[in-house]
This record gives sequence, structure tokens and C-alpha cells, in this order.
Amino acid sequence: MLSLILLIIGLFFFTSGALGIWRLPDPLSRLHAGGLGDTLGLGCLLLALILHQQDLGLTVKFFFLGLMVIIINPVITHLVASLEYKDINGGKGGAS
Amino acid sequence: MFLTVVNLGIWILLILTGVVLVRAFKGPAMTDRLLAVNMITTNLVALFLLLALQEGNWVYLDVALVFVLAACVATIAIVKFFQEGSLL
Repeated sequence: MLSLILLIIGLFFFTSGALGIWRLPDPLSRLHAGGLGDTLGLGCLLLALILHQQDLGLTVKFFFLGLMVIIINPVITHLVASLEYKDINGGKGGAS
Repeated sequence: MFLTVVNLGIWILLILTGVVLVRAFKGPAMTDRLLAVNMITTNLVALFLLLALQEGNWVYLDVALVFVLAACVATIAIVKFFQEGSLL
């Protein structure tokens, strides 16, 4: 039952992220919607699959997949945001 | 009940991938396209997971693991190319 609730929450976050990246007017606000909704949605979905399967080997794989996504996705969002910030400010600022 | 929601979620994720692909096609700035492609990657990883659960074949999980790493390297290479002008 908890896994079903977590799966529905994950699908809701995926939907909100995709609608945000489709409808928001500003590039930086689009970046906010796309970077946040995606990571949380995949985290909830992985937790739902762990609770539904109850298997140790699969749980280790799900854990490492979630760890990689939680590390990689904010890093990519930060890099794209610094690129956009540099573009707005005319070649100054932003992390290298 | 769970498998019904999984089957519904596969269709939802396919529709959302199409929606994000519209933004990747017509995004005005380059960063919009980059972020849209990154989001398509995460949507496809979730799609692989739900497909693995529906078909009972967990080979798709290894596909998802490799897909995340390859997409990460590709996106970081594109950002580095646009920031510094060259890849090396």
C-alpha cells in the first residue's frame, strides 16, 4: 500500500516537472522546474520499487541507481544554470 | 492494483517524454534544449524501471544504470564544450 502511494507521488512529480518545463516563460524558472521535479520523482519511484520487490540484490542495484541520479542530476542542473547565468551576464560570473 | 498503476505510469511517462521533446525542439535558448534532453534521460530511466517491473525481466535495470552514466558524461561534455570552446 505504501509502495502504491509512493509510486503515485513519483508520477505526480514527473508530471509537474514536465508541465513546468513545457509552460514556464523564463529559462531560469524552467531550469528550476526541470531540475527539482525529476530528481524527487525518480527517488520516490525507486523507493516504491524497493518496497514492492523486497529483494536484497535488487535493492542494492536500486540504491546505487538512486545514489548516482541524486549526485549527477543536481550537478548537471548547476552546470547548465552557470552556463545560462554567464550567458545573461555577458561572459562574466558562473562556476567553471 | 500496483501493476495497473505501473501500466498506467508507462503511458504517462511516454506522454511526458513527448511533452518535454516539444520543448527540446522549439526551446529558444541552448540551455533549454540541454535541460530538456537531460530530463528526457531521467524520464527514460523511470520508463525502463517500470517496464522491467511489468515484464518481470530485470535486465532493464542494468540498461538503466549504464544509460544514466552515459547521459551524464555526454551532458557534461556538451557543457564543457560550450563553456571553454573545446573539449580537451
